[in-house]
Amino acid sequence: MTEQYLIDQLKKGDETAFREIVETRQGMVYNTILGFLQNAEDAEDVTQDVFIKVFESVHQFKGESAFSTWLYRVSVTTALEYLRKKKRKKRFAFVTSLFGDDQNPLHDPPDFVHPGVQLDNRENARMLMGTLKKLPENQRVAFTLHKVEGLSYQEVADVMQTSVSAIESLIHRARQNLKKMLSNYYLQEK
Amino acid sequence: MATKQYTEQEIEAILNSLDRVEKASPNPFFYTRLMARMQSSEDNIWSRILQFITKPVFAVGIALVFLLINMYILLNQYSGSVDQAEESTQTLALEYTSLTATIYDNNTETP
Repeated sequence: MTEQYLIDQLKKGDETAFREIVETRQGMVYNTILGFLQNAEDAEDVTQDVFIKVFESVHQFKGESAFSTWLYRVSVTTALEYLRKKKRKKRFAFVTSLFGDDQNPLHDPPDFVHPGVQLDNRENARMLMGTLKKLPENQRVAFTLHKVEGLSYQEVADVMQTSVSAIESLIHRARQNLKKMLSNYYLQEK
Repeated sequence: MATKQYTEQEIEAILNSLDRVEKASPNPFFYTRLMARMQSSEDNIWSRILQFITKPVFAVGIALVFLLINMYILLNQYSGSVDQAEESTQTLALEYTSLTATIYDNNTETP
């Protein structure tokens, strides 16, 4: 079955086509989201959200870009929405904690290591993932898609709906900022 | 100088630490869990309605509608009350003059 046929069938609400798309694309969506959320349980929930969105809004996919590009776009948007929501909840939790109602503290797990990282690289990857959270949103998106998902500059540009030169610039600035933050960390350590 | 160079090498190694990262995948039976969730969200229509009703946008919207209705009633009542007062005065005057007989009414002499 070709992808176009599957998409056409999905637009008609065909469950077999949906299953086929989920089975073939779940790894891609999950890995992308995990790169942003850095939490396996949250990443699985948000991956489910993405596929529910795909099922409900596949008619919005007009075929102007590749299906995988559209799916990456939905995944990144959903992951960023989730992070913003979590941030808002954290702020609200801080306010409620002032009134003594902080039964459910929200906090990020401190040390996330991507499960696909080689054993000898784990410490470095942990440090990089921790520092990535501090980057501006668009730099973080470009860097994560390029590094974690292994997309080319052209593919990242398609997902972010911008030019290749803009992506080059974003990734360059992301590297510069990361270098600065990491060297500050080393200066404090030594 | 050597320390600085070492630090730069370390930072470069950190920046490249995700270069050969293997793709992560969700736990087995992901599709089954996804379908279970979709099914439960379809079944639970009342919770969706409740979720919508408890949204601040809905509450503010309802408050605005009530405010507009109140203003409409208030304005109508005010403009209507002037006419009503005038009308009741006229009716009273009419009734008073027609019901109360004067001395001239009782002693009318016909030629």
